[in-house]
Amino acid sequence: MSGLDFEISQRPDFALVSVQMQPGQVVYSEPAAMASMTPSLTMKAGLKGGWKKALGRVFAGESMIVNTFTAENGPGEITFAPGTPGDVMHYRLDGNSIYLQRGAFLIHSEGIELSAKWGGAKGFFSGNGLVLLKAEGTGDLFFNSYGAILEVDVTDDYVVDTGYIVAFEDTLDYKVVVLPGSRPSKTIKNFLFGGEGLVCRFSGQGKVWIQTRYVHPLLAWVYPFRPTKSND
Amino acid sequence: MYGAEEFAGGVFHQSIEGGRATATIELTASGVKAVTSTGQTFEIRYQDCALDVGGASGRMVFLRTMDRRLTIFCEDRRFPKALEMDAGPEFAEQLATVQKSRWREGFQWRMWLAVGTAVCLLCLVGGYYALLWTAKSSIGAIPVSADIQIGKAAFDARTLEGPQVTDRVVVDAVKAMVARLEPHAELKGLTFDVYVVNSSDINAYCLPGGKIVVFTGLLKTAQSAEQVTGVLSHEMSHAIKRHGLRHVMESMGIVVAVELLVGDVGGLVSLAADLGKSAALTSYSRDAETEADVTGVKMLHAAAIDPLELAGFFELLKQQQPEFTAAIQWLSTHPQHDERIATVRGEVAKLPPQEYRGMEIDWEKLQQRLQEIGAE
Repeated sequence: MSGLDFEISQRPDFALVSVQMQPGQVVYSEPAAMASMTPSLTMKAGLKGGWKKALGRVFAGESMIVNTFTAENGPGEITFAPGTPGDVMHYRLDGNSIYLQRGAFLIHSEGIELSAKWGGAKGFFSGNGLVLLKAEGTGDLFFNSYGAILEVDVTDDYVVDTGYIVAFEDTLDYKVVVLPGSRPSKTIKNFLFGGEGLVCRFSGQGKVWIQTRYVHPLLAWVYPFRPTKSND
Repeated sequence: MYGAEEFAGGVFHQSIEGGRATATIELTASGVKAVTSTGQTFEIRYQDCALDVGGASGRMVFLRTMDRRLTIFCEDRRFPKALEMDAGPEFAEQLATVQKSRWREGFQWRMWLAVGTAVCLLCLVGGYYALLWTAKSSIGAIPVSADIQIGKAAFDARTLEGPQVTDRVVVDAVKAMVARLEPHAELKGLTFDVYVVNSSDINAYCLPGGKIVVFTGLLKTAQSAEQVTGVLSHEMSHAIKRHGLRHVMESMGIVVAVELLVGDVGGLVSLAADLGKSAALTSYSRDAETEADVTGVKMLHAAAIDPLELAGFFELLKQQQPEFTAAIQWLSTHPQHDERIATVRGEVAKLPPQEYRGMEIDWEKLQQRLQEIGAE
């Protein structure tokens, strides 16, 4: 299967994916990701993969709906932009699988299936909702981050705060653990006040993509400045 | 067996572009062979091979050279078994963990399903009982008019157990007994209507709302008007304590419970009519019977009638029971005589002294009239 003819521009802070589509070619995207397209393309919204898969996507922080763009009336160009300022990464799946963090999915080509993967109870309670999105099959996958993306080649052990994980390969073993080195008595304090606590510990061999910003600290920083309703 | 099966997997090696590639894996006589899509071939001999199980799923099998420069991996379900057969038993222990992990995941999934189902069921059953309990405990909030409607529906639905006696002497005597007790009923708003039925049954009952049915068998068996008044005080207490309403609520479905909570008594009334047909409405639990005895004693005391007359009637039944097989009907749902006599005596002992007055009823005349009208 030939891959998509694509280009990622405006990197790394406001990345945009443009795909040159051949007649009959199909691209699947998360809702509202399409920025522009030529009129030769058609769009259809639907619950791709049935309600079970659709529900799975909801648990993994994605939308139930997947938009399908088809080059029905000849070739065309389409551009996709993620919701957050940040980078977009391309990954070519070749029969293997890759795990995506909540909301990281942007678009994929034909031949890829998305499903939800339970990331363990600790992950669930960590606030990052470590229900992961598993992408498998053969085709092109694009995922986005908040901030830029760093690709890390893990050959042994590697620790990433759960909020900074964008994606990782299936060959990596992952465990959500309490930040190593913190004493049990300090764990709760760290967790509550330090902003650190639960991290993902990767082991084995494979790639991890991490983002250079995490949206929650930004929200916490912005929060005091928000306009509030006054009774006056 | 060798070379018979191919598995989808991958290879890590620095000679591959990007360090990793998917590959087709084959088990040969000497080792594990991986061929990438670009045609690169890698092989690890069994004796130079270290095995690891892991990956994101926890079930990926990694085969590495001792220097860790080459790694072949596979997640195919059939791979661990094929590897164990071909490579010999030295990997058996580690490969068993793959099976165990699959089994554990399956087990966990089933366990969550079972727990989820159980929780759902518990919520449903719990919700049902909570609603029933709420309906029952809200009994005080239901107006007395509901009791009256229920009693009327039940009364209309059932046929009297014998011909109704309209003789003034008989009916007025029973009415006088009820009238003496009525002012001392702790629940106001009930209207006590008296119906006398010609039947040899030693029985009397009071429907919710206050419809009282007295059998001539009771009037003929009792030794005094006070004893009959004692029995009536017990039966009226069922209506005063709203045992019928409670009984209907215990028998009702969830729909009626909900209706009741929103203030609609229509369902209750139709249910009461059904229960009334089978006389189930006036069959109460033993606790309700005891409560009716206690309330009856208090009423008798307040009306200046000796409550021990009620105990006296029980004693009479106890002595004469073998001769009165019909009495069993009244007794079947009632506690044992001795127990009831003890309850009545115990309650009387708690009451302050009272000057008792007898009933102003000509007992002889009543008995004579019963004879005259041919009461059974």
